[in-house]
This record gives sequence, C-alpha cells and structure tokens, in this order.
Amino acid sequence: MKLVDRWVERSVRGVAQRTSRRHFMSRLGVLLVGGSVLPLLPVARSNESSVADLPDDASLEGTAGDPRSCNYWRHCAIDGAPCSCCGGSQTACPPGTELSAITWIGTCRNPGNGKNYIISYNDCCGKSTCGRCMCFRSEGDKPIYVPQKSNDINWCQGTNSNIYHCTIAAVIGQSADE
Amino acid sequence: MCVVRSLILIMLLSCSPLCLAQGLADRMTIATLPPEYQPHWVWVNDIAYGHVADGQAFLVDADTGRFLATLSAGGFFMKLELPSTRNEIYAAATFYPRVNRGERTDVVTIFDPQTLSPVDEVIIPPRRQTGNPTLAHSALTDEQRFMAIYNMTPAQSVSVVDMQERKFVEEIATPGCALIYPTGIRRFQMLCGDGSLLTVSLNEDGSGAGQVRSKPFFDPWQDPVTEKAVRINNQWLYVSFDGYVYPVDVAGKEPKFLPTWSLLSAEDRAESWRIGGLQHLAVHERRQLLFSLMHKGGIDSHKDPGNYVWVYDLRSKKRINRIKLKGAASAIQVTQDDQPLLLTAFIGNPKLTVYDPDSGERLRTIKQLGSTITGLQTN
Repeated sequence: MKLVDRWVERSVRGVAQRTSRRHFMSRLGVLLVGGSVLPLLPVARSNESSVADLPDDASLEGTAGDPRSCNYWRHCAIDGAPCSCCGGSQTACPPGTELSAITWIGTCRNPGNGKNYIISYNDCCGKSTCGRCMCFRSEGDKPIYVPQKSNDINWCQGTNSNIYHCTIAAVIGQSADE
Repeated sequence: MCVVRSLILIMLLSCSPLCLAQGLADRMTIATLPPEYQPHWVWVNDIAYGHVADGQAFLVDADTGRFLATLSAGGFFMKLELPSTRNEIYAAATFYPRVNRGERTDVVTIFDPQTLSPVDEVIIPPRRQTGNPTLAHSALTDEQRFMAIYNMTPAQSVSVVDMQERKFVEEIATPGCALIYPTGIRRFQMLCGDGSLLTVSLNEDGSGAGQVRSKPFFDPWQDPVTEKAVRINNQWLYVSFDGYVYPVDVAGKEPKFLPTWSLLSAEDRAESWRIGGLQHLAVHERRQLLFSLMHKGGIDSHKDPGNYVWVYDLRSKKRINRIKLKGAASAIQVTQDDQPLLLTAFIGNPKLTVYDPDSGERLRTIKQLGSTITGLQTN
C-alpha cells in the first residue's frame, strides 16, 4: 500500500471512528471550506495539481490510454459508467450533471512511466445512470465499512440530488513512495 | 325514405358490438395474493440500475415459474423486510418529487402483502446510504418491532423506526461503523472500519440505550470480511475475501467470537478458487448448511460472479457438495422448507434459475425479471 494513499485513508478513517456524526460533519465542513487554503483533502489537492506533470495518455499502447475503455489505466478500481462515454471526460462531468465533492480513492499504476497515481473517483449526479461502457474492476476495493476505499457506495453525497449518473477518474497526486 | 333510413339505423344500432356482447362480457377484476405465501415463493430484488428511482421486487413461484406480482419499492431500493408477526412488508427507499430532482424524501413504506400496494409510510432522515444493495442495509430487530436503516452522508448513523406505532424514533450516531446485523430483542451489531463490531442496544421505545465496541476480530486491510454475512440461529457467519469463516455468537449481550475455519483447502487455494458475488452466501437453518458462491479468480475478485455453489455442513465444517451452475450467478438464496430449492440470479441477465440443492440439477429458469437483479429473498 502506498504511503500517501494510506495516509489519506487513515486520516479519513480515524476521523470517522473517533468523532460523532455531528462533530464529523462540522469538521468536514471546516475542511472543505478551508481546502482552498490548506491542502489537506483530495478535494483540495485536485484543484492544485499541475496538469503539465500528468502522464501522457496518448503515448500509451492499446486501450490503456483510452478513457472510454474499461482498460484505461485510471479505471483500475472503478465500478460504474466512465463519464468519458457519457458526454464528459475522465476529469469532467457530462453537461447538466453535478460533481460530487465527496469521493473514494484508488491507486493505479500508469503503464507508460510505471509510477503509481492516486485516483479520485468522483461521481456525477442528478440524472439517471448513463449506463454506457460499464466498467467493473475493483482493484484494492474494500467493503462498505471501509467507505473511503469502497466502490459499492453511491458517492453522490452532499449534492442536490443523489441520483448516480457516471464516474470520473481524476489524478489527485502521485504515490509518495515512487 | 325517412322511415326506411330510420329502420336501417335501428337495425345497425341493435347489432352494435355493445348489444352483441350483452350477457357474454368478462368481469374485469384485480388479482390479489392469498393470505399465506408458499415456501417456494421468492422475492427477486431489482435496483433498476438504469433508472434507480424505480426499484422493484418481483414475487415469483419457483415451483411453477409463475410470475405472481410486482412491488414498486422506490428509489435506491435495497431489500424488503418481511415480518412474520405482522401481515405487512416494509421497504426503505428514496424519493424525489421530480423523479431525479427536487427535495429528497426518504421513507419506510408499509405494503399490504395481498396487493403489494402501499398502505402507509414513515418519513425518515434523508440520509440512508445508497449504492450497491446488500441485505444488511436495513433490518428488523428480533422481536420485529423496530426497523433500523443504515445512513451515510458520509457521517455514519442509523435511523430507527417503530413499525408497531409506525413512527420514526430517532437517529443514532455510529461513527466508524456500518450496516445492520440484528442480534436479539432491541439489539443489532454493525461492522466497523477497524475490524471490530459495534453492538447497539435500544430502549423499549426504540431510542438508543447504549453501544459497545468489540475488539477487532479480523484485519480489514489484509483480509476483510464481506458485508454479505448470513445468520443461522444465534450465529452470524462473516466470510473473508480469502474464504475464511468468522462465526460470531450473538446469543449474549456482547458478541462471542468462535474459531475461524476455511471454506478452501490448500488445493482449492492453489487452484485460485475464491468467494465472490453481490449476495454470495446462503444458509439452510434446519439442515445446518452453508452455501457459498465460488469462482476461480485473482485477488480483488470478491464481487465477481460465480459458476459454482459449494455446500458445507456447518456441524462438521466440511464441504459436502459442489454444484456446477448452468450460468454465472451474482446472488444465491435457499428456501427454508424441508424440500429446499437453491436459487440463483446474475445482475447482468434478468432471470431466476432454480436448482435442486442436493442433486445440483437445474429445475427451471424464469426469464424477463426486470433489468438488474441484485438480491433474492425468501419468505
């Protein structure tokens, strides 16, 4: 297990286990608001990553570089419809949907440079399931009681509607032990 | 001419279909189900993945293959509650006034078992956890008075509903712990992220009476148990990704952890046999049998469909049968009567397949059951 991955998991898990629900929500609210200042959560870091440093999908052989394919390297732990097949992309929700800020994470190896990246599988919400290119890989998936690593959970949470439409696969960092 | 026309018109009217049908018309009715359900009647749960606002459960006679009725459960339908002490059926669901938009309302709907129509509802906090269904997303306590529904926002909690009074009691915070496994009168347990169990007790009015956290009994990072545990008498059987059974005795106020045992021999492991599926376990209580859906696969294949059902005698903890299925299955169930049936379904193919659990013979297949079957329940 990669260090940063474990750090994020442990921190989220620890907060959830040590605090009451109301306390957790108040703290989460502070974290979300403070995310623009303190890069603590995946939510915050996704806005600060440098696009230039991201691995180049076009250089990958076969479908490992195709965001519409289940074999796409970022889809190693996805369970759902990739938004690239639904009018969005691996980083963009389709038109008219709502991006859920609360999410779960996986660690996927880029076959081009052999490095591991932390992938945030944010759900896009508010319209019925897109259902295209359905992909189910579940590498590193854990049961529902380990929520931050579970792809069985509908992550349309904190959104106006919790109806699931599709899932993006955004890089939010490189694994620290690379 | 006017008289002739009038006579023709009268003749035509007298021969109209309405007139001809007099005395021969069918009497149109609405069918109802009998007060007593048969042991081989099966609930086929469908989350309707393509349009989750419209989850359904289909009642099917596994003996004849007859489709009996549909229960329209609502959004993000997980499972039914089937109390034996009340002539009612319950289902928790999520609703939006404009199908997918508007203000969210979560409710427990009370259905009439003879019509499968809603007769009442209890509004609960709009926080129930949604996603891939399990049979542990809600449950009735053993005396069947209180229904507990698991919430996640992502803060974790449980909503308690008094089904006798048909009223919401309260929301109990359960930080770090998920899902609901009933363990006694006004008591249930939950699986926690550190591999422990949280036992939640209720007062007589259903309000929270206290919580006790056990020591961890498995390692969720090395070999987690799945959420799809099965109960037989006073034991919950939790099964890990690697095929180890963790029996937990819940007869007392706190769980008692019994010795673990393996579904797999060394040879089975060498051949990469694994457990897997959305509902991969079933038990037959009187026969003391455990049924486990199996496949050959790699790590992280714990939700892959299976093509075998292995049968274990829970007294000897030995495998006594290997049933080769005629197609992939992601959910299995067993009827609880003395001539049980083994039932299987695959989420990717909307049909129910019925097997003889002793001979392994496929008895029948019932097709065209919704779109995405996630679970099977028996009465």
